[in-house]
Amino acid sequence: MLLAVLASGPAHGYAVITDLHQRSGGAFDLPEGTVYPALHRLERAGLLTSSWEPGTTRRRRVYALTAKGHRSLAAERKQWKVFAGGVNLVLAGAS
Amino acid sequence: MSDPIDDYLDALLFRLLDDPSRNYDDAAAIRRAVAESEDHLRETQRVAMAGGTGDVAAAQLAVERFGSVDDVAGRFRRSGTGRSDLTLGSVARTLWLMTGIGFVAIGISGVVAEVFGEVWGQAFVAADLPGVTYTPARCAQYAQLAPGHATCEQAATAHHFGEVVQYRVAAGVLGLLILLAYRVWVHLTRRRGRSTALVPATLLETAGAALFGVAAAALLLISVGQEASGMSAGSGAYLSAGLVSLLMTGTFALLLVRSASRMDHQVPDSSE
Repeated sequence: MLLAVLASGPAHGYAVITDLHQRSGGAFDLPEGTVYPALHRLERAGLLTSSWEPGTTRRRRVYALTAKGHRSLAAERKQWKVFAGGVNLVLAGAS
Repeated sequence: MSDPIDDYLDALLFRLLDDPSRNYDDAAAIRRAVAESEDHLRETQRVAMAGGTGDVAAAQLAVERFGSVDDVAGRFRRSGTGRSDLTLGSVARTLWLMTGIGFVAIGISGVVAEVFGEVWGQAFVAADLPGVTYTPARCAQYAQLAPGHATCEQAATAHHFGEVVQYRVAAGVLGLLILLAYRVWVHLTRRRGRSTALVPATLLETAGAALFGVAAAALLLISVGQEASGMSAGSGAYLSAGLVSLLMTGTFALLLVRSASRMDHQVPDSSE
């Protein structure tokens, strides 16, 4: 999900969390501090890159998808569509 | 009145630093985690204040939305911030440290053996087995090595006892020197900004508990076996080493439980 949020362009952590909250219609109301460790782990996995944003009064780090991150996101989207399609078929059959 | 955000950041920093397996290379990562957290908290406060909330209430709101210090610090640790990796270097450094600890444990067992000798007699620690005979030449040798004893058996026991205690204490001194060298190396290496990380804490503690546990079981079994078979002479040597090994096993086990309970408090991430 974090990869999907960042697919639209680089963003700092606060914007990522706000966007995630808005895009999910408020469904993903996570403790905000837990998103940064997740961003760090994705960066260590090579899916994201980050750098301190120049010209700001406070130190602010901006995250962006790497090429590997884009490929991972595409693969996860495909996998999710297959999974969600399967769940929909099962639920439709049950009703 | 203290600022809730400052208090939160102080607590977060403390928790991130409070990890015995912390990799010194991760000092920058810890600093980054705190800086990002501060930026986020101040931004949340700013937005709340723009909406009409008072500054302290806005800071409190930002802290509440950020999550508990335990949860956030735990997740930062799992993400790699402040966490050691299993590398050739970390394994070598751990072996260095464990070698020093092992030798110090042997030294402590020498002190325990000395106490056993004082309390139950030197024969309990270092007597020859029953039925051993001494040639006149060997007897003379013992009399020379441990003078002032009435019989060859007493002189042999005194000599063996001295060996048990002195060799072990010497090993302990060697262990202290190894640990001192390690400490100096860590100090100098950190000043150069290079890694002094050990293997992950749980692995170190598991290995320590397992190694000392096996040693304790073997030594105590031999000691008890000797006592049970009526050959108590010399069983104190095994008993003293076994008890120290048992103490070390307990120490490593306690550290392992502490590390494991920390990991239990870390909830899996769901946002990725």
